[in-house]
Amino acid sequence: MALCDPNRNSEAPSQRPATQRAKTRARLAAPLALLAWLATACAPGLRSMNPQATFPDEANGWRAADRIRAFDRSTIFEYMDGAGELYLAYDFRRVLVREYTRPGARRIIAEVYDMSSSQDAYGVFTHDPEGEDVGVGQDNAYAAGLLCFWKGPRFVRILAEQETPQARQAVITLGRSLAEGVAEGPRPALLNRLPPDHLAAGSARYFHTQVSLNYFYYLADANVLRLSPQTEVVMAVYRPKGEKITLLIVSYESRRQAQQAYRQFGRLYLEDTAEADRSPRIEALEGGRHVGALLKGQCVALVFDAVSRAACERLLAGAAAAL
Amino acid sequence: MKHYTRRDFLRGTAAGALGASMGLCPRDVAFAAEPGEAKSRVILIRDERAMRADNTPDARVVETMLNKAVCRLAGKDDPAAAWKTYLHPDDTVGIKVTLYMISTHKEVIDAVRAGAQKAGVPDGKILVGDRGNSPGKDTPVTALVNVPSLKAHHMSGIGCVIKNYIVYHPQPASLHPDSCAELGAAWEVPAIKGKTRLVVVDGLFPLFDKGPQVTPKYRWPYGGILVGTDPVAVDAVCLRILQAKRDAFRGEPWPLNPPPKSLAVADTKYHLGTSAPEKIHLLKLGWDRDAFV
Repeated sequence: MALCDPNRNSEAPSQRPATQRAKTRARLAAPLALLAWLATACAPGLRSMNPQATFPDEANGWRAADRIRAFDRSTIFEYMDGAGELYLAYDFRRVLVREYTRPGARRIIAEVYDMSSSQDAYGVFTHDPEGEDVGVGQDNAYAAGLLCFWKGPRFVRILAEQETPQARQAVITLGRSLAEGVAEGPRPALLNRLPPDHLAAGSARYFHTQVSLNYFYYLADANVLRLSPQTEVVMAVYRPKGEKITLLIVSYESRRQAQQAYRQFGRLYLEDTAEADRSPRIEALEGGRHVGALLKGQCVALVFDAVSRAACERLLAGAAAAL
Repeated sequence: MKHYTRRDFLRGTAAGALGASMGLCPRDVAFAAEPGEAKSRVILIRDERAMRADNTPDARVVETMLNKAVCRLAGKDDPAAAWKTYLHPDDTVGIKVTLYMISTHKEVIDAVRAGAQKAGVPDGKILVGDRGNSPGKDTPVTALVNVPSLKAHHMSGIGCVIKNYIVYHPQPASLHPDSCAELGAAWEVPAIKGKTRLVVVDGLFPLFDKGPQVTPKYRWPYGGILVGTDPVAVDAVCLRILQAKRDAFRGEPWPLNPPPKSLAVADTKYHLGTSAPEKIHLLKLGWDRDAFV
């Protein structure tokens, strides 16, 4: 099968330099990133120019370490190796990290991610929205010592290395403090295009690129849908009559780009050259599963894994009406 | 390398050595029933006492488990003799661990170090490290023991044995595209190529989703250690454990995304071992409840 090359230009990860350069860069990384933070922290929604002021000094007996580490797009691998790709798949700017310690207890680590927009902060949050709602930020999830939330352009992750009642309270207290003074921001408008009927609660995901798509829903090695940092994607699960159906809506920068992607999807995934432009269309694939595809304006809607053709048609029609 | 789509897995055309290691394929492909039928052998040992109630390992139990597993792998009764099957007194041994995110437990590292000492390797010739301090990177070694932790990985599906050597590649991030398919390239780096004598996977407290960042709700006290000499085969067993745990957690199929293409590529392109279950003999020792394989 001759698939096109994945669109990697804009999402190509930073490559680590040779050892010596890496060491030098590592020494400079934190102060440079802190300077960058100082230079840009006036962005809407951010409370303070001062990293020191971002974090509280204490939370339920856990004291903040003096050191605040900072990593940006070019240095994030120094902090979290390949895990950084999750954030680089969005318009991530930098992360500040501060540890909290308390005698006789394990550490708490607070990470504050500065995204370029509230939409992308929301998108990162949708990687793992399952958990208890403890009322922090615009959406949050707490489970087993980890609190994640988003508010405005911030995504925050606070981890207690060992969950105890005291650590839980400290994590929530820290979260509330980090959310204070940050202005709320809008969710992605594309979420409003998801048909409401049978939408599984908490299943919506928002992202841009192929890396994220294949984490949420493996479609193909190659970038069949021509995703890029400029595309917006919402994905959600629908459960009509016990089925589990996935709906994907991709918004491109132009109608032409949407047409090209739709045609490529028909050719490479549906393996249909002759009718690659036909829209809407529903095809029965392997295992009795149906795929639905629709091109409308600068959007492409795709329905996957519908057992019943009727359910596929209904969901596609719902998407068509919403687009 | 062929590109795949979801349809290739659904219709089984990505099966065999490639597909059997990937989460979208039928999961009932059995491991080899007898050692003689297999190309590679993997030992899984579990002990319910390995993890304490506070999810910290019991060092004594861990060392006992590891020695038992190495003995069975080597076919020896005496731990010292078993370790000498893989390491020699004149070796400089590198123990490549994972020290960040979901890190290899100290108790496992200590048990491997003790094993190397049993083989007669002086303590001064046993190097332990990760990232810039990875043994063999700047300090030459004659033998490597690959000691990763067991975890799912959002970029590569699984981040375990094959992925543990990514730090040896001069440009690690260049191996990230296409679900980290080319991770096997890191094993080609001259300083370490062909030096891996033993694989020991810390499966005491694995992570079955959202790796490599620590997400406690997706960790569980599995209490397992896996050993083998075929890195791909050990990863293939690890993959089966993670996939089964995910399905059990959700109560429905929960494919490990993206499919861990790197295992298939490590098998068919880099010839680091086998990913085909029918060529792997899995010997399970100890605690069997919820073993998932």
